[in-house]
Amino acid sequence: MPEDNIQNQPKVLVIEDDQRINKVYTVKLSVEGIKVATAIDGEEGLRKVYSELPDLIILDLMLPKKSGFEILKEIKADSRVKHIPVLILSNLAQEKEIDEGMALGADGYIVKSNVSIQQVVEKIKETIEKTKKK
Amino acid sequence: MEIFRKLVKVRFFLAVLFVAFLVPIIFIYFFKGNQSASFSETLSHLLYIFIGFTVFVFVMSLAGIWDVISILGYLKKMSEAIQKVASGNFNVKIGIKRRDEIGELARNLEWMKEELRKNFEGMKKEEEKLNAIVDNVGDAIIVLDNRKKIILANLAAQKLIAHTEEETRGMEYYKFLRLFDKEKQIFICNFDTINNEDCPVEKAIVSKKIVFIPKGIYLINKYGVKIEIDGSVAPYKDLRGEIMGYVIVLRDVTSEREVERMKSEFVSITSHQLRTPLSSIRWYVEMLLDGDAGELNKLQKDFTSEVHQSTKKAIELINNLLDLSRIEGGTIKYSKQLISPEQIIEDTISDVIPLAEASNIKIIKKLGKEAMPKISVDYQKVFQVIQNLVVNAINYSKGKSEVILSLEKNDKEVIFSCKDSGIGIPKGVQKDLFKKFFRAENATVVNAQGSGIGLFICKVFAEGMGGRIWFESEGEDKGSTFYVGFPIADR
Repeated sequence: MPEDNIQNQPKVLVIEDDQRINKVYTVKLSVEGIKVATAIDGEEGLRKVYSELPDLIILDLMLPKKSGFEILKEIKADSRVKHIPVLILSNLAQEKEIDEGMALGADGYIVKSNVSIQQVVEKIKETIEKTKKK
Repeated sequence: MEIFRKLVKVRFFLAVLFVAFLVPIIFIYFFKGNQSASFSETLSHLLYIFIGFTVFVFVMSLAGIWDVISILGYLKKMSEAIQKVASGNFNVKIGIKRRDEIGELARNLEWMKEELRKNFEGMKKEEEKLNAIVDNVGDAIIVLDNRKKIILANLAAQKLIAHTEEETRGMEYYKFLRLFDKEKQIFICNFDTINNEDCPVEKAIVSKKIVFIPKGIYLINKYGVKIEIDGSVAPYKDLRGEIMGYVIVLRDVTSEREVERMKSEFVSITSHQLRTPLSSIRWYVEMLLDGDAGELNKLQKDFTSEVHQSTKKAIELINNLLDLSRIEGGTIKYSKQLISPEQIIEDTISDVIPLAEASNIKIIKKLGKEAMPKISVDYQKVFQVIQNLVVNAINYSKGKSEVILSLEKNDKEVIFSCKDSGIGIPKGVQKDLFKKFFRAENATVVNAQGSGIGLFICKVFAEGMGGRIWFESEGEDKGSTFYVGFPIADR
């Protein structure tokens, strides 16, 4: 079982293969008082969903070993983890992908390049707050 | 009347001959006196005269009958000849050589026959030419009569549906034209007339107008092979404008669609690949500007801001190219929802504030006291349109100035407007402003980075959501105001 969140810090799992982007999430979210766990491929990501049991998952789509869509499908099909909100943060920007992501049960679809990192942080906080209230 | 004159001439001659013989005999008989003749002798002489007259009348009648029979004979001959000509045999000879009306009629018939033969052969040649053209057209052509029956299917059509001309001629079109809508996963035409109101042929019949086959329609041929097609169904009319039938034109677009798919995939992947490093740059620069790596001095902040703006510009360019590719590929979708116009103004302003501040531009919003009615639009796309207009207003302003964003409404629509006091639009190029890749010369001087795609996309998006876009500018250096109107949503 994961350790209890000290000081009630929310925890975010970032499944993203780009190390540079991972560093941004880690640094920025830490500054904002959010704990970050990272995974750099699909399989590791799915494992960490269970081992970390985060408050929110940031999911890239084009990932080695297992695609973001597959991970999302598996999360939403498992009652143990399907309550965890998932934000897709990808640079795939076609309606086809956005529609598919939302249809699979994602809580949001953000095209990375189109938003500032501050907007991402706000969206993460907002989604965690919304889920807590439920 | 040559023929009548001839007949009368012969009869007249005979009559004169007869009278010439008979009158002297009677005269001699009655006036020279045969006094001794008894009453009975006189009676027998009269009887001879009577018999002679009767014979004359009989001979004359026979001659008349002979004439009638021979005329009838000629008429019959000509009538037979006409029948043969009518059935397409132009080799028939009438062969009547007379100088009277019968002869003239025969000559006229002969002449008419020759004229007909020439016309007929000309028509046959034209028909053969037309058939050859239709047969060799690369697109499939199927012609229907107004009872939905196939009267012609060219070679390309026979190849496409994998049925021969013999199999299809005279048959209802739907027995051969199986059409499948890939998106809806249903047959819109499948061997019968049930549930085929979406079939383009039926649509053309109902509307009496040309109907274009939409994207994503597949034809299933005799062997069950799916072929993506494109084309149209159009009624064809006679000179009085009555519909005689329908022409179906079909084209196998499998390879074109494949190229389109590859192109769109290429654009999608490339833009993804380009975005990845750009978003990384953007976010790191934003962290620098946010002071996450320590406070920057004024100059450092200034330089970093420049990097930030250029990065955003590059991202915008990629987005525009992706949009352009989608517009051209016809894959733009609008997911409409009820949006408050004020929300779009607020979101736009918070997005462009950094750019406006950096450019020394003050953004003023003018909203009415009452809330505007909602509009049914795709939020992301309206935001993109308004944001584009405001960014243009900032980029094409000179020095310290204002950009005024306001909302108005009329009976039917909500109108966004964006007014600047910038470089304006020269009168001469105003008509070209929304054209793809067009850039006014005074705009290229002020902002070399523009692509000429933005306003084109704005127009496509605005119109794609049922709206309209236009502008007013008194000319160069007189500023400009852009307007975008969207219909008020029905409640």
